[in-house]
Amino acid sequence: MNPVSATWNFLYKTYHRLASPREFYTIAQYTTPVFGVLAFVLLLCGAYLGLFKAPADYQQGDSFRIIYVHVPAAWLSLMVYVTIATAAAIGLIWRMKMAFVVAICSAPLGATFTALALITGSIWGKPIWGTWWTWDARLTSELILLFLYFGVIATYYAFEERKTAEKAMAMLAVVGVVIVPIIHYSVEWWSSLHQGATVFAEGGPRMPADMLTPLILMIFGFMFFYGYALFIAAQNMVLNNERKSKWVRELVTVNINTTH
Amino acid sequence: MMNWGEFFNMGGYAFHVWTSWGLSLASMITIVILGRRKNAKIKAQLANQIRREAKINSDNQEQ
Repeated sequence: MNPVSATWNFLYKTYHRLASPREFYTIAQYTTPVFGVLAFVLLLCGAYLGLFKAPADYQQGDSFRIIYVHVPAAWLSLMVYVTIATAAAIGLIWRMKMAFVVAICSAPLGATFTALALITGSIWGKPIWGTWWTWDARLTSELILLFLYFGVIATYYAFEERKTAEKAMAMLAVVGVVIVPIIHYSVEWWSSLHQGATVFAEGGPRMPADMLTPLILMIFGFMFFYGYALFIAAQNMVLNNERKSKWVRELVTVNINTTH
Repeated sequence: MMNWGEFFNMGGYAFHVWTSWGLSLASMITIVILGRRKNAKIKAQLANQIRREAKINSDNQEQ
């Protein structure tokens, strides 16, 4: 078999395995700890290099070390939303059960990252800009993203019937994705106190390597943490949604027998 | 040998740096703890329900 069709076959099979809640649960039991360990190691290395080894900024001194939590949180706030919108669209188009679970379980995580980005940005803004908050494009659009996350969560829990809830939540999530490019380009389209792109800038990152390496490690650490937390939340939701099915009852009964 | 007092002082930005890092760490730990607790809770509730159902079934058979 040629490599292209082999890859396609693998993706196709993985998609169908992940589409079944039971298969997803089984796979997640193995992937969850892997993501957890990777997140832990990456964050530990990133924190060590970022707090101890990176030199202080020549203008901002040590306050620039906030970047190592602020930028990953802000990056994740957008990445998680794109994930939610993509999963929601897959759920709506192909009626894939698990896609809705991924979407709704990601929402509280995305909201947390957005809140962290806003709060750490505010704490960073006070000494450097001289203000905790300003209604400029980047900050305002990021705040709207936080409310959008709240909206997605609230829509899901507003309906008694799960299928209605999933569809309503997914539609809002897909429409709301328009906020992502607005946030990303806000620093270019409107004048802003917020600085422009530093890492994904044209012509490469505008940072020396000893400052950039910990940032990259922290971004990947946050990404794996998101995966880890998402697997935990999705497993919980699958257990709850499928509690009447035979396999969940057997899984729980095995637990009784082994713990008592 | 590094100076720990100087390290924690963060060049005068101790409050800003440690609050930001602390909040991030606290959120991550909270998310994981809540998720694991919920998992244990769901499993315990289901196990209880299954036990109750088994008891009702055996009581019915005795009558």
